[in-house]
Amino acid sequence: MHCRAVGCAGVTSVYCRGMNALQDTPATVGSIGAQAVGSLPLDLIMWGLFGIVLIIYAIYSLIMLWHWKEYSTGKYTTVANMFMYVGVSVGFLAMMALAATWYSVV
Amino acid sequence: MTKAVQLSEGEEIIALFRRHWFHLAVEGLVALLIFVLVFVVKSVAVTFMTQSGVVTNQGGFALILYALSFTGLVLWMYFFASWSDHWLDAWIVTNKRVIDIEQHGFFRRQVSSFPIDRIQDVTFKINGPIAMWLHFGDVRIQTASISDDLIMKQIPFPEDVKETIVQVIEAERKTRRP
Repeated sequence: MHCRAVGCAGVTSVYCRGMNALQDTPATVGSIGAQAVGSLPLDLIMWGLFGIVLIIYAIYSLIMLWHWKEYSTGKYTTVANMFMYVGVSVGFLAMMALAATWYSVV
Repeated sequence: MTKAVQLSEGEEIIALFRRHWFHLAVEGLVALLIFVLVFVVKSVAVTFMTQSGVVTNQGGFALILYALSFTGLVLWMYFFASWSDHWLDAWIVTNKRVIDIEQHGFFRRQVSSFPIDRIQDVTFKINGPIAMWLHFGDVRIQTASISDDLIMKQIPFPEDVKETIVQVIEAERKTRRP
């Protein structure tokens, strides 16, 4: 989503890719803030953040699961319990990727 | 278990204790509250952006979904760090010693042993209405050594734990008598 803002005499026009027409809104602090957010390449930021999170998640999980394997005291930290942790995490990661794809497309 | 502690010859595990689930439940509740808070804040922010025309409705939904997934993943990881900390900590009572296993984060682990024959006193303390209601408290084991006492914090049914340790001490004293 890329937005372009044009301001003149207290009236701000914001045009975003995916919208059919220019929208005129009063130039308030909020709308200027919204313009600033809209001018950011949000789809790129989303994919970049997804990549960083994926790397951190992978390293973090490997360290944690290694601890479980080495030091388990026999309950809820066994290899079988890893599936619940990994399953839910992968669900969240998949939703992040889906949302980023959706945002890039619309 | 064999990897967690190394038992000596003739040593048998009598009991294994862990912290009460209350602490873990509080951590889970905090994570859930943060998730709900992020959902509310993000929804308001995206509604504002949609009304300002910065993003379309669909783009707004995608942003909310992304933010919630990100927050959910971070909180899930945080909760499982607490989960690991909870389930990797344990107190093991054997016929020769009491072993205290403490995992602090990922890179700090402390395993202490307190020989049964050096234990001088065992006391327990239950503090507050929640602890009284859910039956958890602290058990303190005083030893004849100069090191700190062993404190089993937030252990379920502390009176039973104290009784178990006292029985082990008495059994050990009987075996030492000629």
